[in-house]
Amino acid sequence: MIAIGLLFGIAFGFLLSAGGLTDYDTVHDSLLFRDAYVFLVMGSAVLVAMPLLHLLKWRRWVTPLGGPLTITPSKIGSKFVRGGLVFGVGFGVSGTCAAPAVAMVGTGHVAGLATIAGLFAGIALRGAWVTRATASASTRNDDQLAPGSASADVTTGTVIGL
Amino acid sequence: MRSRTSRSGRPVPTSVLVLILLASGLLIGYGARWMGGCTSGHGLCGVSALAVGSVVATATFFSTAVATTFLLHWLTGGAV
Repeated sequence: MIAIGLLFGIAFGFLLSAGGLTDYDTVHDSLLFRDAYVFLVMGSAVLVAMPLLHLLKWRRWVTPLGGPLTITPSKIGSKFVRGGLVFGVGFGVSGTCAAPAVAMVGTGHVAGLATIAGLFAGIALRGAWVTRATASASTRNDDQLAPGSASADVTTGTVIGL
Repeated sequence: MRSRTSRSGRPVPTSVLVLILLASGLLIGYGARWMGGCTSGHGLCGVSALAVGSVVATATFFSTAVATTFLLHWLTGGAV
C-alpha cells in the first residue's frame, strides 16, 4: 500500500513539474490571462478523469486497492466559498498551491520550502481553530453533534469524500 | 523564485521573499483545510466527480487567485 502510494506520488510530482505547474511564471501568466496554459492542463485532466471515474462508479468496477469506488459528496456549505477565498489569495500571491509547492522544491526552487512551512502551519492553525470552536460548542449543547464529527457509515471500498 | 526578480529588475531580498512565501503558504494551508481540499482534491478529483461543493470551491479559489494576481500586478505597476 505504501509502495503504491509512493509510486503514485512520484508519478504525480513528475507530471506536475513536467507539465510546468511548478514554475511561478507559468502559473502567474495564466492567472493574468496572458495565456490559458494552466486552465488547459486542468481542463484536460478533468476531461480524462471524469469519464473514467464515472465508469468506475457506474460499472461498479473494483479498484485494485480497495474494492468498488464510492464517491460521497459532502453537503454544500459556506466553507467551500470561505476556504476558497483564503486559499485563492495564497494561490495568487505565491503562484503555487499545495502539491506543486512540494514538487517545486524537487525542481531546485529551494524557496518553496518556505511555502511548505507556511502550508503546514496553516493546516495546523485551521485544525486548532476548529478544535477550539468545537470545544466551546459542545459545552453549550452536549446533545448536538459537533460540525465535522457527523458519523458516516463508511463501508469497504475506496471512498472519496468531497 | 528568481522569476520574481527577473521582471521587475529590482531583486527582492531573500528575507522578504521567505516571509511572503510563508504567509501565502499559511493561507493556502488554512484555506485548503477549511474547504476540505485543494487544487488537486477539489479542482481535479472533485470537479471530475461532479461534486457541487468542489465546483463551487474551484470557481471561488480560481477567481480569487486571478483577482489577487491582477491586484498585485496593478499595485506593483506591472512589476509582478
